[in-house]
Amino acid sequence: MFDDDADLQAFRLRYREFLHEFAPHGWRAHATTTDATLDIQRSWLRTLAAHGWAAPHWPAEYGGMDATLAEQIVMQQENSRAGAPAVTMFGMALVHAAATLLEFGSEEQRRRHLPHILQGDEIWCQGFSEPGAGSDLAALSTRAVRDGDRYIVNGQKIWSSGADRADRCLLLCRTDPDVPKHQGITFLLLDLRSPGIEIRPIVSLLGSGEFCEVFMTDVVVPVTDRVGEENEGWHICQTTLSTERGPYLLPVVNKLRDECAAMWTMAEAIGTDHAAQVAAGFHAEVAILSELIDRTLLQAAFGKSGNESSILKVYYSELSQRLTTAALEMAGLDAQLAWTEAFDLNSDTFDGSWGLSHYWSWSWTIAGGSNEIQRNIIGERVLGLPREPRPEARRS
Amino acid sequence: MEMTLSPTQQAVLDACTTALGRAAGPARARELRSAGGADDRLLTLLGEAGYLDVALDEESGPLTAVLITELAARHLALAPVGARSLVAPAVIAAEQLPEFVTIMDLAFGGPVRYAAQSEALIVLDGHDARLFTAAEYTTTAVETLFGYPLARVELQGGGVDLGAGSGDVARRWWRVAIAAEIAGTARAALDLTIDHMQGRVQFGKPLSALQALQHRVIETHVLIEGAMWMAREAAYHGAPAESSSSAAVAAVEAAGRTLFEVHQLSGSIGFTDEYDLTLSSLRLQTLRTEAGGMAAHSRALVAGRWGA
Repeated sequence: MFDDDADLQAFRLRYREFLHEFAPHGWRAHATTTDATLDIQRSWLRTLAAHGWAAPHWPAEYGGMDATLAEQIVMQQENSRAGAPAVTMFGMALVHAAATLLEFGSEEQRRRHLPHILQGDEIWCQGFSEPGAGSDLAALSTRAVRDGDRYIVNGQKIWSSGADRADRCLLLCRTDPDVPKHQGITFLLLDLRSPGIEIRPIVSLLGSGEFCEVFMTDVVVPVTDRVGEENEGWHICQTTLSTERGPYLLPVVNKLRDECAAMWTMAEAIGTDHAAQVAAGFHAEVAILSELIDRTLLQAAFGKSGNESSILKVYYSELSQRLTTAALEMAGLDAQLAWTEAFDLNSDTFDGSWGLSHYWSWSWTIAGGSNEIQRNIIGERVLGLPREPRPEARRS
Repeated sequence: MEMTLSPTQQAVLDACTTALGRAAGPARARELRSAGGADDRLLTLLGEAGYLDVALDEESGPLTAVLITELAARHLALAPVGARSLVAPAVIAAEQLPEFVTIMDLAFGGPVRYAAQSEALIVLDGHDARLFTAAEYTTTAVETLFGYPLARVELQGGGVDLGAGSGDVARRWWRVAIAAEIAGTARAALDLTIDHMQGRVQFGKPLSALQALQHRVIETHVLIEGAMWMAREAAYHGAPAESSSSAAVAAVEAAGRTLFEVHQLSGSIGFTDEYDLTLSSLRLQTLRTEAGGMAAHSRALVAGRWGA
């Protein structure tokens, strides 16, 4: 990926040494339930934090390392090499919440939340989508009405991954219904233990409860928990969303590489030229993805990924779907039936279940801004193509 | 080939549609999925009405049987309508036809649809086939979310020889049946997706009004129609090697594209258990891998077309 210069090589060796000494072994055997996986990840996050490695991308003054992109990539490579647990359940806190607070939060908010995030004391989720506002996120209707030094929030959020285990939620609300829809949205930090909140897991087609609905009835949110100014939420949430199309994708390349290796093992057993060509084709595509990520990350500072990050999202998610589909075709129906007990959606390694990898890959092209929306962004903002006429934009 | 149905065929299909509308459908599919069984009741109903024996009827013939198979799949019927109405009559004498019968091919491992519920099993072994009664094999149910009951099979008895070349014949009709089932199942998934797109308003208009999405729906529709007509033509001509495998290849292609499009166009709701999409879409996963999947259908097509 990068040729290490002397400094980077020293950094790599230092982190490798740390992993050698502290990374847990045999943890996968214990990660049989979501609760057990959460304990393993929290414990590892605390170990990372104790040695200063938990949030390399954060500024040093908040407990980060001011690490360069090259250093972050090196850490991902070394994590993968050592088989260290990925702290995926804290991803929304460490990446999305942190990026939002670091760019738009008040100093008081940063001091209040970032230390808890670093210690694994807070799990965060995202409260953006609503039943009537999916791809058209700006159409959201959850209302926040100002009442002195607080907001009263009423509404419903949906597809909030992990909300049933979360402590806090990045929440988008409508504060002004009388202006064009993008201009009347405010970004709040919601304490999920507040009275008036009900969280219901949604049973997925896999039978799991990864996604949740969050119902809010007269929930009180102090004005001090507002990020940025009132009605500036749309601009702020773009940062939150762009993080998941940027550095957050680094671990997925590891997983795809793992999947390619597993596919090659199958292709070798099948022993036909066609199977080998399929496996090789995917290997090349993963290499392209890796190049695209490097290029995009190097072009944009962390937390300010540009519109080209949409290309990464489209490329990765569709590659993952095609790769797992091809693998299932090679492996047959049996492979779809052999599932692991506890599957980590965001794992950076292939856990051997083509079926689960495949079905979760379906969600990647929908979640975090569907690929249709990503294509709109690429067309309009990268290629400069005209926008589709949008009737509601005329609302004033 | 006649591209329109005869009055008799149309009457049979209309009556069958009414029967399936009453006895099958999403609610029944959910009920059976929870119970883990197959729809004996429906199969009996279809059998008593004569729908499963139309292939043997001179006027209706296999073309009507393929239409019924397609229709049953479209109504989410959980019964081996294709195996019983298309495959079994091609290799088993009319008076010996079991009501509930399914198929396995020794060339491919893996679980078998409806094996635990069937009273007989047509086992394909190279060019030949044998008929096993339920007493001659044991089954172990496999947990699955695909909407079909699946089980691994262990043969114990010797079965009854169905004659030289019966394996080849059964395999060709099996491909036609799979193609028809895919066409019907994919159609059900696409119909529901179109309903969703017409009701789901984003950016001030229904998703169905967005041209980029319309094109994808249309392309999927064309693939499903293609598979459907290939299956019909293959049945009409008596399932020759080339057209039966062509139908299966086209159908498996259509299944893959349909699966992707219906889930993408339905968005997150399609990923939930409570929404009916998975009742049809996940069945496509079994259908596209059954009988050796694309690799086996493609080899059969090459062999049928060029004798390779």
